[in-house]
Amino acid sequence: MNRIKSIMRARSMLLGLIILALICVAALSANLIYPADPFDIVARANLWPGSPGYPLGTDMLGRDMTSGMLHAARISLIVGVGAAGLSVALGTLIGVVSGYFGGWVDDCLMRLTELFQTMPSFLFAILLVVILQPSIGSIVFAIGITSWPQISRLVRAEAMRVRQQDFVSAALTMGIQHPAIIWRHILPNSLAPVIVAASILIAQAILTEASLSFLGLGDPSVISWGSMVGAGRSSLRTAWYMTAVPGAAIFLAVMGFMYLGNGLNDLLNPRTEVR
Amino acid sequence: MSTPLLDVRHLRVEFGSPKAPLIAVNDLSLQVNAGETLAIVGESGCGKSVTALALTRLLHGSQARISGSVKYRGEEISTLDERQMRGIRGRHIGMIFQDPMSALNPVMSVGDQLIEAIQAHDKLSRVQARARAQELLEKVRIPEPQKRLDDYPHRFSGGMRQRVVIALALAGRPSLLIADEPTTALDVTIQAQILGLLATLQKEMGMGLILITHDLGVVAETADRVMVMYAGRKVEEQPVHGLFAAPRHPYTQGLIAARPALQINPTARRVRLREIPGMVPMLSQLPEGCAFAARCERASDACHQQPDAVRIDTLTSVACHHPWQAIDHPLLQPQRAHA
Repeated sequence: MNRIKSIMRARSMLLGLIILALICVAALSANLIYPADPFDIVARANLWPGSPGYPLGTDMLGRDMTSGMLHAARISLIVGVGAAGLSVALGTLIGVVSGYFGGWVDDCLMRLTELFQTMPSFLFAILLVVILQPSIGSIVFAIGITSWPQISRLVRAEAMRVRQQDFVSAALTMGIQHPAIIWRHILPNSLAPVIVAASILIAQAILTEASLSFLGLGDPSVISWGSMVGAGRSSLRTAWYMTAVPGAAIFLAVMGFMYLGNGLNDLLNPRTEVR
Repeated sequence: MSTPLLDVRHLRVEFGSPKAPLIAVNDLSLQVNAGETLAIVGESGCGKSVTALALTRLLHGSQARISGSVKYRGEEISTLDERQMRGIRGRHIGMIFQDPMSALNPVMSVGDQLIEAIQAHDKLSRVQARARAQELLEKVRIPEPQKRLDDYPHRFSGGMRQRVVIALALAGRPSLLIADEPTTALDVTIQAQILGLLATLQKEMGMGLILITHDLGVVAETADRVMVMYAGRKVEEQPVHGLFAAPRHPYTQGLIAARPALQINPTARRVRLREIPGMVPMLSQLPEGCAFAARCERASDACHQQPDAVRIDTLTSVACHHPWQAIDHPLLQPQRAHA
C-alpha cells in the first residue's frame, strides 16, 4: 500500500515537473520560433485551431494564437516567479525577525501582518495596479505585496520552534551575534515548508495575474494568458477556442506548480515515512 | 583567599507580573574558584537551570527580572549591556547543554559549527580556525578528527555528540564552564566517559566548573563542593565528602536516602527505598517560611519562618531550623519491606 502511495506521489511530482519543463521550453523558444511581435496581424481572423500554418488558429483580429500562447508563457512565468520571490523574501524576513526576537518586535510585525491579511488581497492588488499603472513590474509588486503574510506566518512559527532548540541557546552562549544565528542556525532549519509554500504561491500568482489581465488590468504592451482569455470572451459563443486554449494553459501551469508543491511537501516532511 | 572566579550574591530571578511574582531563584549566593567543581543538586523545577541561564543572562524572550550581584574575577557583570555580555559568553563563561541531540545544528557540519564558535572570539582565517577546530576535536578525544570535521551531527553517536558539544563550549577557551545536566541524556557507560573527560579537561585548562545535576552519583564522582537547592533557595552547601557522610538538611537526607544502591547479594532481602513524600511546591503557591516544611518529618511551628542559612564552618552552611546533628546522623536505618 505504501509502495503504491509512494509511486503515486512520485508520479504526481514527476508529472508536475514535466508540465513545468514543457512550459519553460515553450517560454524559452517563443522568440526562436516566433521572432515577430505576437500582436502582429498575420492572417485571416477567426481561423480555428488546426488550420495549416496556424496550429492554434487566429483570434478575432487575425493574430497568431500559437505565437501568443508561447510569448504569454514567459509573462506568466515571470510574474509567477517574480511575485512569489518578492513575497517569499519579504515574508521570510519579517517572519524570521518576528519569530526569533519575539516580544514587542513580534507584536508590531504581527499586527502589520494582520493588517495585510485582513484586506481582501485581490481587491488590494487591483487597487495597487490601478494606482501604479499596469506594467509587469507593478503587477509583480502588487501580487508580491499582498501575498507575503502567509509566508511570514509560516516562517515565524518555524523560527519560534527552532529558537527553542538547544543549539540556538548554545550559539548564544558562545557569544555569536544575532544576525549570524538567524542566518546560519534559524533560516536553514525553517525553510523546508517555505519551499513548498513557494511553489503554491507561484501558482496563485499566475492565477492572480490572469485575473488582473482578464479584467483589463494587465500590462497592455505584453500578451499574457489572462489577457488572451479576456480578449476572447467577447466571442465565446462563436469561437470558444480563443478562451479555452489560454485557459487550459493557465490550468496546466497552476496544476504543475501544485503537483510540484505537494510532491516537495511529501519529500521534505519527515513525518511521511515514504521517500 | 584570592578573589573567586565567580562570586554570586543574593541572586534573585522573578517571572510573571511584579504584583504576584513567581520567584524561581531566591537569595542565592555561590562562589566558584578556578579549578574547582561546584555541583548544584536538586529536583526538577527547583531553579537549577534558571540559575545557570541567569548567570549568563540568557533567559531570553521571557520577562524575567534578575537582581543581585554576579562578579566574575571580581568584576561586576550583571550590569553589563548586551554587547559586552556577548564578549563574556563563550570567551569567559562556556555552557554545555543537557541534550546533545538538540544542542547541535542538524544542517551544519560539526566543523562549520566549531569554526563559527572559534571565529566569534578570535580573528582567525578559516584555515587557521579549521586547524583549531581539529585540535578541539582531538582534545575531546574524538578519533580521526580530521575526517569527522566535515560530518553532520546525525553521523555521531550520543556520546560523541556530547563530546562535540563540549568542544564547542571550549572553543572560546572559557575559564568557567557551566554544564547543565551534561550526562542526563546519555547511558551509564558513556556518562562515566564524559564525566572523566570533563574532569580531565578541567584540570588541563584550570577551569572552574559548575555542574548542574539531579544525579547524586555524578556529584560523588566529580564535584568538590555541593550546593543543594530546593524551591529556588539554597538549603545546604558542603564539600562533597561531608555531604555524603553527614547531610544536614532533611531534604538532602531524603535525596540521599532515595538513591538506590547496587544490590549485589541476590539472597539478601530487598531494601525498600525511602521516598520524600509529596511534591515540590508550585512557584505560585510557595508557603510562608521553609518551603520544605510540608514534606519534612522534623517540621515544627518554627518552620513557618524562613530559616536563615547557618554557617557551620567556612565551606558548610545549612538553612534549616532543625538540621541533623553529627550525632543523630546515623544514616537512615532503612525500612525493611516484607520479602
